[in-house]
Amino acid sequence: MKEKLEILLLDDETIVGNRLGPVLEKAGYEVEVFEDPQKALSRIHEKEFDIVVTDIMMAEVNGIKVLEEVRKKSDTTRVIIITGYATVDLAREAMVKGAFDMISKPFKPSELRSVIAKAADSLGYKKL
Amino acid sequence: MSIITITAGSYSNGKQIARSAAKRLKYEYTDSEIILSLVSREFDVSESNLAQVLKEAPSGVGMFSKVKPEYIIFIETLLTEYLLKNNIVFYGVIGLPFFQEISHVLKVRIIADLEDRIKNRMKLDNISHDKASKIIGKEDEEQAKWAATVYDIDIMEPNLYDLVINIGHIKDDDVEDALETIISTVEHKKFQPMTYSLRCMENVAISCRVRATLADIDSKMQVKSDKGTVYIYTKVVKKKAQDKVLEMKQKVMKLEGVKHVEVYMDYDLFAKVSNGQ
Repeated sequence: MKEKLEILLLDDETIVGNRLGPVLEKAGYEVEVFEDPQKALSRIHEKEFDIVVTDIMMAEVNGIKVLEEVRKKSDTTRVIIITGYATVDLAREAMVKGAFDMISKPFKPSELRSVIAKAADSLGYKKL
Repeated sequence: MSIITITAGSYSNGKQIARSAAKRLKYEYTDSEIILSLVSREFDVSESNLAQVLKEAPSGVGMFSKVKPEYIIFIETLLTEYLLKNNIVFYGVIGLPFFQEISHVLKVRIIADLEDRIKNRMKLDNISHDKASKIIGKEDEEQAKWAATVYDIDIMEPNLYDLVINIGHIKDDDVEDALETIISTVEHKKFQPMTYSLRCMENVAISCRVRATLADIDSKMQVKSDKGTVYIYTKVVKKKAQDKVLEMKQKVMKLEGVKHVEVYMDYDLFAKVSNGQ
């Protein structure tokens, strides 16, 4: 088992990565932050992350597409959706396509940490 | 971890299906009667008056009527708070519009053959076909009228439900088939709770609790809440506006889970005219 869980964080708003990246690193995770969904997808194809946190509404690639690509690559990677446009239909679609959880924006960093801790727990890691 | 709500016409075996689904899934079963007893205790209203409000929609003008609009708010409050526990099958119509925005609530409507319902009623109550038919027709009409008056919905509108099951003839096999359909559907991933949907349910419960707390000031106010921020939309008379807003905020801020309150006022034109303002 790896010493640190590897997380890919994707959001096209700079402020989200700037704020959440350090918070998650401080919590003991290894974090790669992306603003460009294409670059994030390339990285996902190269490397199997433990957890992928992705926004939904992005200019070039929809977060659901990211979720689908992660699922093609790995059955175990936990995908957490963060969105400011949460609806019942989106929530259900995300779950059907294999999301681990979904949080509506705005949220406190502690909320994301709590969901990541659950995802880590489901992967057999103890809560950090 | 999901919630199932089931509605049905009278003598359609809806309650039996709801109870059996709860048993098979190892969920808790609850219905309007169970919730009424909780409401009666907390709000000190007789169960018979509360039961009446589920049959007869309050007109809003009956000051001396036993059926008061706030009773519905009280029932909705305790129901939504009860459902926060999850793993529950609820049988009843009340609260149906609130559950449209909660992805982990499976909403089911059971439809049965009318002639079978009549025969069911004839057998159970030992009455004639004509009488049973009239009673069931009246009950269907009352249920539809209640939902239209209280929630402005057509109870038979399929879009309100995730699953509409026509059990056809009410026989053991049909009931068993309906049960299997409900169980296999709720186990589908899309009805699994998530942080977002659980938060939506909490928001609904807080909004209902706020309406119940302020029902004596305005039973028609609209309330939305999101992560502890409460938005109140109310009609008040201009002269008393500031006092009322202050009173509302003070009451609501005492509630668990409330961090901030915003009150939006729509001055009551009718009150203005009658006061000569």
